[in-house]
Amino acid sequence: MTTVEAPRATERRQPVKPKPMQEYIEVFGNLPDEKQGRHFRYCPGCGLGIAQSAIVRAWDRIGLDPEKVVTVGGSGCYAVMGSYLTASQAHMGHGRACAMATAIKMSDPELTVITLQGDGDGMAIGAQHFVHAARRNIDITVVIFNNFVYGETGGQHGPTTPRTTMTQTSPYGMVENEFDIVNMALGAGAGYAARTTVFHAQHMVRAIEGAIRHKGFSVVEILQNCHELWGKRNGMPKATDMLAWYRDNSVTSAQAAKLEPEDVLGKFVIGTWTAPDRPEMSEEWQKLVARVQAGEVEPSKGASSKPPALQ
Amino acid sequence: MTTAEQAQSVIRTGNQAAAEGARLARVGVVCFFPIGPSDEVGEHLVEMVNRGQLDARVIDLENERSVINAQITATQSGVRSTFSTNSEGLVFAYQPLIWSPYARVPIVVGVAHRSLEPPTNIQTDDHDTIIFRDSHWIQFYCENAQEVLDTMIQAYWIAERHDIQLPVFVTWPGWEVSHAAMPIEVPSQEQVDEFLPPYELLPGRDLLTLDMEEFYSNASRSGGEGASYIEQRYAIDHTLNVVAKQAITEAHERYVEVVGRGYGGLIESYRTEDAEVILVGLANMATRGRQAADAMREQGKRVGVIKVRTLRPFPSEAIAEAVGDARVVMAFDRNPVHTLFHELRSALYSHPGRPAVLGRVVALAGRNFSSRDAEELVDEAFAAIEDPAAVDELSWRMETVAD
Ligand SMILES: Cc1ncc(C[n+]2csc(CCOP(=O)(O)OP(=O)(O)O)c2C)c(N)n1
Ligand code: SF4
Ligand SMILES: [Mg+2]
Repeated sequence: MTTVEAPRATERRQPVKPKPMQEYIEVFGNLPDEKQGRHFRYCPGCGLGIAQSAIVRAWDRIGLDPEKVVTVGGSGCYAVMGSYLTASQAHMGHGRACAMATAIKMSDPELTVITLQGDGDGMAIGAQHFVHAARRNIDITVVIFNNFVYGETGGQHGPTTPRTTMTQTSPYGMVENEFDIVNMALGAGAGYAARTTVFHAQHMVRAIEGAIRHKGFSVVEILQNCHELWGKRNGMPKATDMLAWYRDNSVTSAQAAKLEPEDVLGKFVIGTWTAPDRPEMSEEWQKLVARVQAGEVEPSKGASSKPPALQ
Repeated sequence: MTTAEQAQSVIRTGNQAAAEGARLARVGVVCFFPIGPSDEVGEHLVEMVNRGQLDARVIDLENERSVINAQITATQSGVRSTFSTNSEGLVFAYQPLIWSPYARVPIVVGVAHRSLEPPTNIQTDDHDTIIFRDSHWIQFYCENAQEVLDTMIQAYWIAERHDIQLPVFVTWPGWEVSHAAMPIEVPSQEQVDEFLPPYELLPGRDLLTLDMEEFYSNASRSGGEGASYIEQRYAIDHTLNVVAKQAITEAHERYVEVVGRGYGGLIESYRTEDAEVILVGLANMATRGRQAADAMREQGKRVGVIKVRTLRPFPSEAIAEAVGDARVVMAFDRNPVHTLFHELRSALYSHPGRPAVLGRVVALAGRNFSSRDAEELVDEAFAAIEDPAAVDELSWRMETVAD
């Protein structure tokens, strides 16, 4: 089912624009007076800043109208990101983004709906919504900032903390296994899943762009440095330590395909994985409503109706 | 050396005190999911486990709902457990939290209060547990770190008594108590062991040895020992409002005997004997009340304070007795649904000489509420003695005067 795609050469040659920020990020000069002087709430060097600029670069490459974009967030360090962007923002309790995003897409399929979620938000308390949104193949893009911990609450371990690594609540090393977000997404029904890191900034832009362009449920896992809470406990106290670590320990999916499995162990495999198209939920509903209203289909008559042929 | 001599004087925050309380209660399971400002309680306990100071398993799951389910199961299989959370965490875990009183599972949950969302905030008020008022939980509101520690230990004794079997919230203000350090006395393990026996399941309630078919068909589905739904609910209501009141008072008296420290039981009264105006508050709203009462008494105004320790069961009788001949009773309600105001009104409706009951919503989401603010409210209470119509029965205090 899963196909492995190498980054295309033409794409690699095409540099991303240097400054799409003006249009998409509020803090760069186009803030209303009362918001002037506001600055990012992320720690200095936090990978969330790099990820944020990759997101707006991807928007710029597609030429999205910020009026037609809605970001949906939850709770965590990343949760302020939506408020820095010029697109509309919806916000609810911790972990609820995929449920909200589903509703937004269903009510206005013209919108580009993107969830911005932490690894804790998406994979722990919100995992249920994530897998069901994937199963429905609703046309939303889920961006997961994976910093391996619950950052905002102080760096406790979560379901994405790599086994044996140290956190506030696993001072002797994490005992549990972590989720593979890409496999989980594909297994649940996503048609597009990508993994990238904050070191691979250009790859990250393309991964997000591909996800937004994909018709159906798409996921981008961004491995993000939280040097403050995770790095410091794992011998990488500076942002640059973690960036170098991502640089030195990542292989592309194309490279990984050529390596022996044991050589891939412990590496971050970055790339994009796609699955054959499945019907997309908001479109299927629109089609069904049109057919019912046109009198083309009848509701089931209970026990006497024949089972539909499975397609 | 007597056991009392082994008690230690140390500096602790409210969250650390809660962890000490759970440790001394010899919890066997520490449950965890992070949310500020409560998560430190669990973190301290995990540290104690790691250092070998506490013999417990740590259960750390993916959200509060899973965690409370685990706590219920641990308790149903005979192991004392602890968990602390608040606001969004409590709301998220509503389903198992409501399950626990009606399945008679005596869990104890600590709460360093945090205001409910939206809007997003990490400030403090009581609303997050007030919303559980109508669910047969026993609810303690603590004023400072010392009271948190002592109440935590008493909570297990009360919850687990075979004639109670109800869950207990032990709560304290976020930040103001959770993160403020003060000198506290930590009782010795011997003292606590003398007060608190090991947890013993009600005979026939052990989840691990129970005939599961029997359990699900009787206890869980149709209501235990053949009783019907209404009889069960009646038993729970009676247990909370009659039996638990006695048990809380008894727990308090026994704790004073063994450890030598107490807070009056269901309520703690301050200078109420001859008071014309009585201020009523939970937790550190009573601190403000006492400061205001002292200041007003210097001006010759007779003001007293009642600290309500348990919102459920609501100590109506004890309050009525302490109110005596007072003319005005004023609630300092640190929640947007003015619960204390309404509770006091019904509690005092048939009180001889029925005093005027006023409600003041204060200090929501950590908004400053100084003793000067409290004094201004007391002035309003005295104005109500002169002319009840001139004063709002219920109002919100939003502005603040510096101390
Ligand atoms: C129901 C609920 N439980 C707990 C919390 C406390 N909380 C706030 S942020 C957070 C974790 C955030 O982790 P993640 O989603 O990975 O984002 P990060 O801070 O790492 O960017 C938690 C547990 C909450 N807001 N709501
Ligand atoms: S705590 Fe970590 S994830 Fe949060 S802003 Fe700081 S570096 Fe970033
Ligand atoms: Mg995270």
